Amino acid sequence: MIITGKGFRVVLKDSLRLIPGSLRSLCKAFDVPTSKGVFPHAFITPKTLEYVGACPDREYFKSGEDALSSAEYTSLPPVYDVRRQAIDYNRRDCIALYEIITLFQTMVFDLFKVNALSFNTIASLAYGC
Amino acid sequence: MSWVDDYSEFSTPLNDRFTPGNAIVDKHVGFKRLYHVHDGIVKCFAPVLSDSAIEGEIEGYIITDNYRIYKLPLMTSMDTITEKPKSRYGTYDIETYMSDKGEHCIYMLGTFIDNEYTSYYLSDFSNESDLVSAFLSSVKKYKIKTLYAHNGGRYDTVVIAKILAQKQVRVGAMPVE
Repeated sequence: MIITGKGFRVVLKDSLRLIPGSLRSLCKAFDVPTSKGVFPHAFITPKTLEYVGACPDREYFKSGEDALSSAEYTSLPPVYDVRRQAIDYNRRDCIALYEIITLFQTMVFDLFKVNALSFNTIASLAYGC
Repeated sequence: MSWVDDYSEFSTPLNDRFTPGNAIVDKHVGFKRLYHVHDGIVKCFAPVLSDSAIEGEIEGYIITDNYRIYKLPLMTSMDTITEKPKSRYGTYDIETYMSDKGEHCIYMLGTFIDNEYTSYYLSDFSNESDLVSAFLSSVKKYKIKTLYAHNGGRYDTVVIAKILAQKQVRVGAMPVE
């Protein structure tokens, strides 16, 4: 998507079309330094954005079919600061994705001498190599 | 696009049938390579492509028992590069909650540009529209103007586009290719 306004232009791209797989699985596959965190998405409402208190129930951390293990749950802070945890969770996602894309770009360059990010999808990249 | 010189397996009559934009898949046992006409010369296209991937997308017809010719979009050569490309991109991610109306509402947006992480939290703004505006205003200060989000095409940009549409900000679609 391209956003244009007075004096600026921003291009928003989808990395999933270029590097298929969930972010969590890609973090493992590319073995990047930053790992994806966990967050109680189902716990968030406008009223809980500034919540600080006991850690939300384990069921709130369920993401799709993936349930949080008891070991992961017990490792969470006993006093849960939603804002702080949300920022940390989001920061990890952004940095992990950056690391994955950078590694992917380097791998493709090393193998085919092509800039992978010149393409929007894995299919067009395959034709370009 | 990478080409290798490997024409020895072709017989002359087959070469005469090629026109630009046509390609051939070697059906010999043990070979699965795509051949292509480039500048009037038959060349072997590397890396190896599987037959199934090709057959799923294009229409072909049998010439002999061993060969098929397929009609393909005319491929254009891609320039290879000698220097490692620079990382001229950033990443972003949004977090949303589900409203009573069943709509995804942004409560947080984060960016990672020029090795700098920035977050925008709904509590600091009067509404999600202002949050997105702050994000766009912030991006202006960076030279990098391309941001990636994982699954952004079906989630992040959809939610952002909805807000921008309400603000009557101009947005455009990019062809997926």
